[in-house]
Amino acid sequence: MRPRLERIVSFRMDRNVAQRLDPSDVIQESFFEIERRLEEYHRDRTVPFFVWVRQRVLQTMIDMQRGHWRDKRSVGREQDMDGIHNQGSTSMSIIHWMMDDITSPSQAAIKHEEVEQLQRSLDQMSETDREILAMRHFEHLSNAEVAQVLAISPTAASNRYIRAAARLAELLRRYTT
Amino acid sequence: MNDNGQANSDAQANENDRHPVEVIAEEFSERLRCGQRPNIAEYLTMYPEHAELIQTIFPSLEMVERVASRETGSKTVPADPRFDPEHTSFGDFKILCRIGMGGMGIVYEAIQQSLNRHVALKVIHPSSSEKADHRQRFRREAEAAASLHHTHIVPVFGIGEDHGLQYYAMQLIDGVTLQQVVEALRSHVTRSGYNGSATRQTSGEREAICDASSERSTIDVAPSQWQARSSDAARRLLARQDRERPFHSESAGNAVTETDVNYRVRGSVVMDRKAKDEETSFTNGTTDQSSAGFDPGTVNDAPTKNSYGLEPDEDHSLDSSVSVSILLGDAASSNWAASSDWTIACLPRHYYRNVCRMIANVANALEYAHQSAVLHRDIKPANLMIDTAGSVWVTDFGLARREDIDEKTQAGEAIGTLRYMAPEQIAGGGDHRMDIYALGLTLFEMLTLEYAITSPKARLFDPVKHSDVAFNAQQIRSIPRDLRTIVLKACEFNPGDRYSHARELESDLRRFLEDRPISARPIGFLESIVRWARRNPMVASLATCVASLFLVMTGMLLVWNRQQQHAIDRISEEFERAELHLTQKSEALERAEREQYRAEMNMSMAIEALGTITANIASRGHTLSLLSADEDSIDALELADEFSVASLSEADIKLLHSIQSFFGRFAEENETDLGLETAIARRRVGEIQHKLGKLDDAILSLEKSISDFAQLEARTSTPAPDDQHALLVANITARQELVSVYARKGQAPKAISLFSETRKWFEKQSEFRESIEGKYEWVKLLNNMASISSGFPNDRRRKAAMLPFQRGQAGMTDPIPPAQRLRWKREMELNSEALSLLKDLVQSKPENIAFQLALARTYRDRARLHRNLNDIPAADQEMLRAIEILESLIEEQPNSRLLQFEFAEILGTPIAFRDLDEDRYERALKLCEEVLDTDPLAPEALALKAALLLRATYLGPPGQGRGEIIAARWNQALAIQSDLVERFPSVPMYAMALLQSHMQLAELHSLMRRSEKAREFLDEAERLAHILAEAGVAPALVKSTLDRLRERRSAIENRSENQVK
Repeated sequence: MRPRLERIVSFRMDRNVAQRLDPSDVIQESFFEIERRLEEYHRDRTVPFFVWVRQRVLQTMIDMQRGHWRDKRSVGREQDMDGIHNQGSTSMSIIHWMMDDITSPSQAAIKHEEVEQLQRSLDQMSETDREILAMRHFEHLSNAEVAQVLAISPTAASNRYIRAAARLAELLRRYTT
Repeated sequence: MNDNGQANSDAQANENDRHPVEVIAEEFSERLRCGQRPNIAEYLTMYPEHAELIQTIFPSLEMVERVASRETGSKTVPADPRFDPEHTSFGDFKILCRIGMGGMGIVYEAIQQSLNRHVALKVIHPSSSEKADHRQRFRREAEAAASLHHTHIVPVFGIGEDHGLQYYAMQLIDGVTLQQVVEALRSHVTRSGYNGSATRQTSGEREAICDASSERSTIDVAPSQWQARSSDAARRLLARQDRERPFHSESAGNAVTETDVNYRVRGSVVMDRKAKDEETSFTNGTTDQSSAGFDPGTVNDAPTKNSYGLEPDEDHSLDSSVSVSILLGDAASSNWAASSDWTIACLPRHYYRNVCRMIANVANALEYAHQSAVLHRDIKPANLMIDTAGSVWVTDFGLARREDIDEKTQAGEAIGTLRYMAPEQIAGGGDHRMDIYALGLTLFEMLTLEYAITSPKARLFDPVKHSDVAFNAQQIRSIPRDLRTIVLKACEFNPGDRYSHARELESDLRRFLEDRPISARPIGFLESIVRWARRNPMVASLATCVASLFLVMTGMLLVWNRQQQHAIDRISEEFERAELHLTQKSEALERAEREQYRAEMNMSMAIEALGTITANIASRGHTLSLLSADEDSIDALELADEFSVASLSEADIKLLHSIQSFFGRFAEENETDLGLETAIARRRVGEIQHKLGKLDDAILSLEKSISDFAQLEARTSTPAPDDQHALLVANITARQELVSVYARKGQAPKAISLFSETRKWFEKQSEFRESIEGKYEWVKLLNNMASISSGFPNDRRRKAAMLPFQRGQAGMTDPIPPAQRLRWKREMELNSEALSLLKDLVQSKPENIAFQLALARTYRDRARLHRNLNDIPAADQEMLRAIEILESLIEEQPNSRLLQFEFAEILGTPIAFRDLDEDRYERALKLCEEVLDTDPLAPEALALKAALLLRATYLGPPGQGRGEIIAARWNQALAIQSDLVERFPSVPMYAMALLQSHMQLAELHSLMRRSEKAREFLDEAERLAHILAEAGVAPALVKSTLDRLRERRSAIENRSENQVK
């Protein structure tokens, strides 16, 4: 589970603090939080466990990022950091994720093209569609987990995923031709 | 924990209502993530009803996955028209299903129709630039490989060509590759080192892992299936096996829990020593599962081929109890004991043995193939398989082609292969020893679960630099030394340095298994430096600089006796510079390089070299303190620290300080990974601090090093008996030192309690206690203990004012205080113990001079104890024994300087000639002269001579004409001492000795009623004392000397006044 969470965190993390914040630190920190709140969770159990853990981890991440901002810059940056699904953040995450690993010019060239196509395509998509694709392909969540996060049925999640994938394919085709 | 309630049951209910293409897409994505390259066309034929949707979305999913996996986009296999999935047969072989895919081609399970047997059919992926002669060569080699018949080589049934593709039919092995086993182990062994590489890879590593796994990625078998099978095979390797007994697989299923219980019962009741080792090497913490169940019996029958892909993928991620356990490391949660997750903290010892046995079998197979003039060329974990019976198989013999490698390398595909290639192979050449090399790397990987070569791609450009194989400190601790030596020998950079035949590698592995000495020797410090320097000219320049510095220093100190005082200053400066250099450089070096640097530097050797230096300086101090072997002139206890410092020159002190800071820094930096070396470094720091008179610091350092040693001992992973031995020796040495420091501090109770604690500890070390080395170290400790109080007799101040012969009249008959008598008695007992042990040692090793010398010294100490207890005849007798030993030793080796010196020293001990034994006295002087004959300027010998000359007083009171003789000798002594002071102005001890001589001469002259002379000597003494005081050396000691001088002066004045009256 931990590697999965680390993947999620490093995907969602604000690139501006990525230099100073290690995903594994975020996980570590969130585990304290999770341990502390475990009873609370068992009492209420409003969401499935994994979804809850993911929420806690991402919340911890946001808190920690905020801490960094407070250290470094003005509070003005905090404005839209309280929601995970705020507009634009997912595509930012995707773009940064894509660009992160580029080390050589030729790599960059190959990637750049794909990244650009993907970026433009994703920008055209609805928030939910983009979110579903991100969770499935970047966070490696299963269909059932996506369903839990979005609080919809697995069937609905499954269908929406196919719809999003088809939409993406269509947009990509439009950009390549 | 009954988790998730409503949400989850809903989820399960609806799981079946997923969009079919979404389910397929999920599998498609999973396979991409595993590094496979699933063919979209394949899905189209498999699911014609969804063809349109698949055609639409899969290419974009592929792209998203590619981007998400952070891979560059060039990984897809270019479609080859000849690779038509429609082919259902190749020649005689009818394809059943695809079981694997690698850079080389696709592996199918097929039926050989004519013989109706199942085979593995490898269809070779055509190289685009394949030329006719290449194909022929390939064919020739494959035919040669097909002629091999060996129990550990997968038999080749035939080769052929169909549809323009070459194929290769082999026996179908029901098993997993070692690569899969290593991967399974990586995920099950929790120790941070392994996990780290799995979760926090650098991009290079990740890429490499993907590459490697694509070598034999599975097609028709679900990943979870392979994981389960690999994990089973891994477990089997972790299990203890009796020699070659094949694994017996029990009927699976619930047998698991049953054998678990059996294991535990056996573990607790009949636990033999080996089982104990085994048990302790598992974590006891995590779960029941983790501490038991690695018995071969727990291994399930691997699922049969028919069940491939049919079992549901287990997914624990939604099981909250599992998640909690994993997340929080909740050991108490027993819910998941039944889950297939199992972890162990580190690899148990018999795992190494199982791996060894397996690799030995592979080596045997290689030897056979090499004899038949067939090279494998591509030995790597992915090409070695373990079947369900536990047998190892070498696959793909003769398949590797030079041209393949070139091409795939260009395409960035052959990394899995490149990683295991011998350097000469990369350069385009090589003979059978390349297989030995590759097998060595494979062994390394099996033992460490880490790649031996971390940057395979870089080898293309600079194989020299990126082919180093080195164990890190943690691995050094856990992997037996002989095994490491075998690996390193097999992976030597130069083929000529490797095992010349696979059979030699095999026999060394078997020797290791049988606990016999292996033939390979670890390369020595110098050799490793030279070889490494050859390969790493840049980094090496620094290392050799430091290393040669060590050597120079050691050498210098060995010939110390010459007038090299100034040289030491230079060395010390150089050393400081080197250390600074080291600091800067090591900061600049890449972390990996630093690791390698550390390992290569072989710190323990460096420590040894520095240890020699320290010991050398220390022994010089000891020799100089002989000036005061006339014990009464030491102002004892409270000045002991300064006394010790005074025996060192400024340069010594400077050197010791820099060595100390080096060791200190070393200990700090390597706290976690170089346990033994660090603890030894710390002990060295303690010894140096002791030497420098910083007794409190010394106590801290030594205590810390002893507790470090204890921790290391408690660690069960310390494997090799040799290492264990070294650890015990290091530990007891630290204790010897600490006992002396306590004694110096006058903390006898602490020394005694440390001693009795050490005795308990020592008695537990059954093996060590009986070993010769152990006995000898114990003797040293006993001797240290035995001289705690005899070295510092009571109330010497009063006696100090007297000359020896005066004391002879008064002092000897002094009643001994009861407490003191008790102490001496106790020390006598310790001395007896040491004596009897030493007698044994000498008897078992009569040729060992060190033992004989130690025995002689122990007799001398005994003589001293007897004298203290006023048992003069006994003292004489023991002294005689000591002299006898040296007498016979020196008879054997009349020209040994060491013996001459030792003998002179013992003979020169005041008690040796209590009875005006002029013979002994003259003999001692003569021996001293002999030493000086060969080395006229040897300061220790000169100092000893001066001390002997000064002891002329023992020959009797100055009456009967003796006064003149004594005075003449004393003058001679003074001349020598003055000379020494002149030559070594920075060694305060010489000046101190000269001062003392002046005081004694003053006393003598005063007794001879020559007050003028007496006064002159006193004046001179005072002048020397003031010089020392100005130099700021040992202020307390100097002050007390000055006080004494004043006392003497007034005594002499009184006396002369009386005389005048």
